[in-house]
Amino acid sequence: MNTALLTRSLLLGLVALAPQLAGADLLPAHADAEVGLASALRLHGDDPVTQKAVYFKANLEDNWDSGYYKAKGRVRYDARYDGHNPYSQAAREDYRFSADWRHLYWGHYLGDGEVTVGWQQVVWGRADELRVLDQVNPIDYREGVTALLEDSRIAVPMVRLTQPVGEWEVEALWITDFLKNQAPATGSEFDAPLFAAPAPDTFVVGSKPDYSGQKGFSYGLSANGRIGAVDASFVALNARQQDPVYAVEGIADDQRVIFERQFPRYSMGGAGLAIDAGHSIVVRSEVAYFDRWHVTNPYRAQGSSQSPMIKSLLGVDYLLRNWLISVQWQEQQLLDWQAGMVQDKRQPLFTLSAEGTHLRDRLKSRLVLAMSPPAKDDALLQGIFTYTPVDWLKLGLEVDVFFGKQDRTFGQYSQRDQLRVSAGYLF
Amino acid sequence: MLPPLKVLTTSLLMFTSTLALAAPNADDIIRQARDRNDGKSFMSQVSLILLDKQGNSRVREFSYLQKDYADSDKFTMYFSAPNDVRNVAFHIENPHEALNAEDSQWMYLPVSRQTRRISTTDKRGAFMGSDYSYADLDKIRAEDYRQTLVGEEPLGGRECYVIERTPVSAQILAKTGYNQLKVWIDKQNKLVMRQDFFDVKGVMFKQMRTLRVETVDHIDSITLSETEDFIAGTRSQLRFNQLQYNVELDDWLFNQTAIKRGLKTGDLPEFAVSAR
Repeated sequence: MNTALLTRSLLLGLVALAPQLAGADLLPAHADAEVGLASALRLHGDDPVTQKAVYFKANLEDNWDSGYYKAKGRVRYDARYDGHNPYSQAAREDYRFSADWRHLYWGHYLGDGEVTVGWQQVVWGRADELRVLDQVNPIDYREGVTALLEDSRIAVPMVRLTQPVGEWEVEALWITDFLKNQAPATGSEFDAPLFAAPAPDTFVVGSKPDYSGQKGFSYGLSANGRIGAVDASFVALNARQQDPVYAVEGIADDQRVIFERQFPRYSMGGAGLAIDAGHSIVVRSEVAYFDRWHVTNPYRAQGSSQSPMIKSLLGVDYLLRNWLISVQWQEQQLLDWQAGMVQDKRQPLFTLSAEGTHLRDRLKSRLVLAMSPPAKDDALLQGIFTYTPVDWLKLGLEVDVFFGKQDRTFGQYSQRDQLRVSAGYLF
Repeated sequence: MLPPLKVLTTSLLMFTSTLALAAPNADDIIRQARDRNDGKSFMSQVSLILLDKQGNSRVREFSYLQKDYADSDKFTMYFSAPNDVRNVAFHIENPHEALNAEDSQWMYLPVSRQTRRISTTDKRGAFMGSDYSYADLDKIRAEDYRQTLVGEEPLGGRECYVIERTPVSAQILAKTGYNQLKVWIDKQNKLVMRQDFFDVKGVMFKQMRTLRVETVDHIDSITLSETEDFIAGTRSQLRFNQLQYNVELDDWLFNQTAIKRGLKTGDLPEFAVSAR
């Protein structure tokens, strides 16, 4: 099936909504928006201001007898990337102005179920800011690795069918086009070794296959419900890896290794559960098996290495009055690790977080410690505070402090601790 | 952990003449308040009004659905306004007290697009930022307290039993945070008309008052309740609008997967709601 055609059909489907919308109402039943200013300060070095932005977010929804639509988008202009600044041309072009849909889709009721068509975010699993089963949407890493998933998931075009079956809900989705994770622009504030392309003095990327059209589709199934006192989820996904894998194609005349940038296809099956264990504790667990996970291996004569991979997570939530305290251990393991793979055989990640609401819900706080052992090599401390002193004003304060070695996920940002502030007018 | 608001919502004239003539027993009165007829199902549009020290108010609106099952009562709440809580939803399953089982609770947060299981062991937290704790809104549990009838007195023109209740265990104390309760129960319809809350030092720090009772579908129902926190100087009100009993509510509205989907047009009689 031609997925480009599907994408066009999806667009046409949305356009076809217009008469229904006009028939229902010219104005949406619900609209809210926020306009505001945001700034960021790097806590090291000269020239510490890294963001001087104005932003606008809007959310529109309407519904009628047979369906509904939802549209949520955001636009940002960052003056830091105009005029004098230390960033590359690519960074200026990427960060000066950005806009995206958080979702834009139409829903049509089918009995108790529904079909939704458009750009959507689908979150699988119950992990707190970690991705084990949550593999459907790619991630925008252009603001680094610490942005909340709710802000960094990229909506993808899909057709999604959901149907309640007793106490269960089953879901089938078809993603019509491939979208990859967005890496920070080279030479930007958030550029880091983790996102680096192969060094041009040693490697040359000779080809970049196009994954649009027939090659780009994905599909998945999920079922969520209960088995006795246990909440259970089962998911299956066939999709392309969202980060690039560089496959060796040969040796160039100048002895550099020739790579092809690929996004290989894999299948994933997984399950998750949650149970109230009493004593204010909820235990969560997730396991996902990836059948053919490809990893760049520059020491191969040809192609890339592949191995089955398991991602697993154990989480414990403790409710203490107005605080929800969560401890999570995530482990990612390549079952057939081979020498030369650029991915570690094991990648453990520990998170401790506390989320609370105070001052009659006007203050929301989130405190996080994330680390990959040993902690001195790779750790993050994060605080996120949102204060709404009056209904029309939202103030934000976020702090990221990194520790560790330069080749580790958090450690690579250790000289770029950040303080972010924002003020938004809500209407 | 979230509440059956049942305790605040309904009551039936259910005292038999035999009971009325017998000497009242505090345990019996509490059980009658717990077991009063409130229909097989119930729904209402509820306004949760938060009042600060200066009297400034914030209003949170939600649809509240309840349905009785053989082993439990099930509740679902869908918040619709203001924007910061829009599409937040809760689902609670409250097993009958005789089963001696804990509640089950789930919360859907549209920001994270996830439904999360929430432990029900600690009910001291504030319900959506209000002066009601989750424990305040829970269904009356007779066996969690030792209760003593300390008198009878009129309240708002209604004759009431006055009952003092103390938790039977440290576990219950830790769950609610209340060292003692003093409850005024309408002698006729068994509605809780007032409740005083005492901390471990014996200080009354909070009071819940029934401000308005209406008869809906032949059932006496609390349609306006207020809780005042004397320490913080704040008040909150629960106002039950469009209250209806014994409405046809589909079973699929009462499980944890429903709260992610939200309410759509036609799910509920006469409720105009937006889909999630």
